[in-house]
Amino acid sequence: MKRCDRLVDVGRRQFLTGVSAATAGITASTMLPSESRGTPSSALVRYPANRLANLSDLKVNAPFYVSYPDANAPGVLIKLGVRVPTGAGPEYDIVGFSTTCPHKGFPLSYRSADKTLDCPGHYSRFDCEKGGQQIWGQSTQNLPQYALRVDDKGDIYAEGVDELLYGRLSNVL
Amino acid sequence: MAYKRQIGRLPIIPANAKEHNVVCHYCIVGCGYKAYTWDARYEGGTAPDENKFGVDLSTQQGADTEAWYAPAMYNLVKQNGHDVHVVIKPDKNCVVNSGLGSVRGARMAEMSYSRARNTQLRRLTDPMVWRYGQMQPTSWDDALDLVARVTAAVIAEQGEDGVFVSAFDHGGAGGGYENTWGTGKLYFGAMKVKNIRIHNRPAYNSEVHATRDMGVGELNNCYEDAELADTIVAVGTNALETQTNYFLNHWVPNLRGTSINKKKAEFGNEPVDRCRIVIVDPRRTVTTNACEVEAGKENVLHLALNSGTDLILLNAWLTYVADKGWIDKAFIAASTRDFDSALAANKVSIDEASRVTGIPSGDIIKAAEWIAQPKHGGARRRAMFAYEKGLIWGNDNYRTNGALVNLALATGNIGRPGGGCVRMGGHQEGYSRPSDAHVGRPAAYVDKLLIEGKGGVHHIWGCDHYKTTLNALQFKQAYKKRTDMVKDAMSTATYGDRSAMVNAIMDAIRKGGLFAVDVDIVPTKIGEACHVLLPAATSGEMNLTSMNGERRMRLTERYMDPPGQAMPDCLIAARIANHMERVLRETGKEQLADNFRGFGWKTEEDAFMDGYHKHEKGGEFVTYARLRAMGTNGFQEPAVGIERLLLSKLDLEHLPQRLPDQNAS
Repeated sequence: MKRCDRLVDVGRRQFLTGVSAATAGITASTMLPSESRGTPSSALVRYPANRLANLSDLKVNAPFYVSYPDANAPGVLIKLGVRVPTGAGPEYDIVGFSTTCPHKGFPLSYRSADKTLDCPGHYSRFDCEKGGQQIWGQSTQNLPQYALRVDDKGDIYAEGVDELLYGRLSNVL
Repeated sequence: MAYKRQIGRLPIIPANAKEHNVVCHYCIVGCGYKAYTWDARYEGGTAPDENKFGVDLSTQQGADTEAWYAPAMYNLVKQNGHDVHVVIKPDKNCVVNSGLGSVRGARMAEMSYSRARNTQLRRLTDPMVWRYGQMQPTSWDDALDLVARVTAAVIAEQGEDGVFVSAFDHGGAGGGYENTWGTGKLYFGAMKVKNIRIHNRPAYNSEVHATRDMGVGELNNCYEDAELADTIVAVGTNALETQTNYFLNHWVPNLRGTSINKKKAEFGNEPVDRCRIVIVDPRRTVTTNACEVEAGKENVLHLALNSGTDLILLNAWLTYVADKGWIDKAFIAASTRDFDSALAANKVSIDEASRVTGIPSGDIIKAAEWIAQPKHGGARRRAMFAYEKGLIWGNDNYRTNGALVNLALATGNIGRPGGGCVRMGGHQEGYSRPSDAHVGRPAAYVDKLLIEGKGGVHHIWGCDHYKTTLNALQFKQAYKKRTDMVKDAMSTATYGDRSAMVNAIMDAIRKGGLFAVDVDIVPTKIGEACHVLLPAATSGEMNLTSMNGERRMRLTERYMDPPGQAMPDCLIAARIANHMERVLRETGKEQLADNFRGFGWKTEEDAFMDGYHKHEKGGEFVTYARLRAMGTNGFQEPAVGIERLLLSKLDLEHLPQRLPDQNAS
């Protein structure tokens, strides 16, 4: 029979015969490895909690332009006037999105007639009532949407984004 | 609710990442991309000297930037057995797409096989055979031995007409010059298989016979012609959705009027304006909408004809422009014959065309004026005719296709700047095969013959009749019955007893059974009926050459490993040939065995050099090294020679002391 040289089998055999390789290993190692330190970093982007507006600033179906997570990332808040699954606020109808098209980075404009964000560059369209679902277009992602929180005073905070923003390889620069 | 990836950052391409030329394998446009790969353990940084772009990535990048990629353009794959990051992003320097990415090509990375990130795990990884009542993985040698023995036995009993073949014939994924040559040399060289069909259709024929019979190859212009045309006539094509970046990068500038300076440079004093467009389509498509947005409604004429009435509309236009004298008499005299009899035979009045097509007479005449009425000063109007499935797959394909080419010829729009009468196309092309003359015309209606119980063995390459043939339900019933007969017979033999197995299979074939072999990259519907599945590599897992809709030939370089034991199709064909040769010699059929020599290829480049390089027009000038150097722009076929390239200052700085011999580059 052909002899099996695979290490996994070697290990199994040694385990079964009770050989203590670990002890031998410790006595053999007399030189300490030279160590350099790695750089710790977190697995996720840490988003700021930024106040973007107050409830009193918003009118139904009218865009309120903001920026998040910093001044170079334009976005919009919209009070849709109808409750949506991703909506914030007392009526669960407030949503926030990046307004930089995730296809080629052109600025999106709000079309109140069907509550979409539309791109003049290559005709991409995103549905604000459906979490920024791309209705038509060449982007390979849906529109980045803000995680919103509204406090007792009616102040609206953004605390995160659910897709990569166009033009940056880290959402927080 | 919308799907979200919850990805807030991506690994940065380091400055020393490997760069590979990539042409999108999804559609005919063939947009240029670059694949960047680097070791899975690290990434680049935001400082300019730490990333491939040489820019500060700690700042927001602007619109159209090269220094960004979407999560869909990223993956973790194997390269020479090692885990690497891969980013496949559009190439701004490619003249086809100028950095634009579509929802197809911009997802190439995400649509690659990755065990680490669990993408495309449906890919076939190992040869599979029907063994004891189910498909089971096996070795290449085992699977190909069975294929060769059954194929040889069928040839012994039925001749080569008992070998039925379905094969891709195109470029891009599942095709390309290497792979069409591999399969072509096997079935048209080593064998002379007659019962063969193509890709999406039940026989071995063109989708556009008529234009070819008229001597007008269907890819007869350049994408730049769409920037130069006075009028584009789009028949049954929805270019924004199906040739997206061709439309965005070459039609839109003309519709917007931003290519006027290019026209002036090309045509001198000839009057030029922004493009007008005639769209023939029963539906109002997004293409129509985009044209109206860009050119203004007054420059867009959407003719929503009754379905299937293109022929009479095209003949009415021909009649009308000839009556008006808006034809190119010199061109007609020099390049056509029997024009007058064609005109007489196809004579249709505007009123009759209006009645049949449902289009108002005024719109038919207006379109004819846009197509052919001479410009101010008498200059010929430059019209580009583009067509696709709406015409090709309509009724009376042959005559309708011919009628459109008639109109293009009559108006002098073949082989002229700003003209052309072209297919928009589906996939890229990449056809290189020995002559198919023995197939004859009309070509065998293969799917009908299969339904009727003909043939003993069926080799399938990247085709799926269950989904694409005519009368698919009946085909599936007949095919399943025939292949089940063989499956049941195989279950009666011990798998290890090869001779008993082949005898059992042949016995079932004699009773009307069919032995089926499926070569593909993923499980298919027809594959469910097959007895052997062979896993193929796709674009990027192998070096692959193709040409796009303007005959632009390029090499996609291999940037990752194929899954498991998968191999390029050309090498699978070669290994089938090797096994055929061995099996035939074993049985003393030396003469037949000799036909299967010449398949010693070790790499896809070997197949390319044996096929395209040796056999295609201009092929002697084309090598992998030259294609690599030409990047994602490649060249437009046919190759006619080698030019010494103009060297930039940068190149000069990096040149060795002596210029290399150009012929050796």
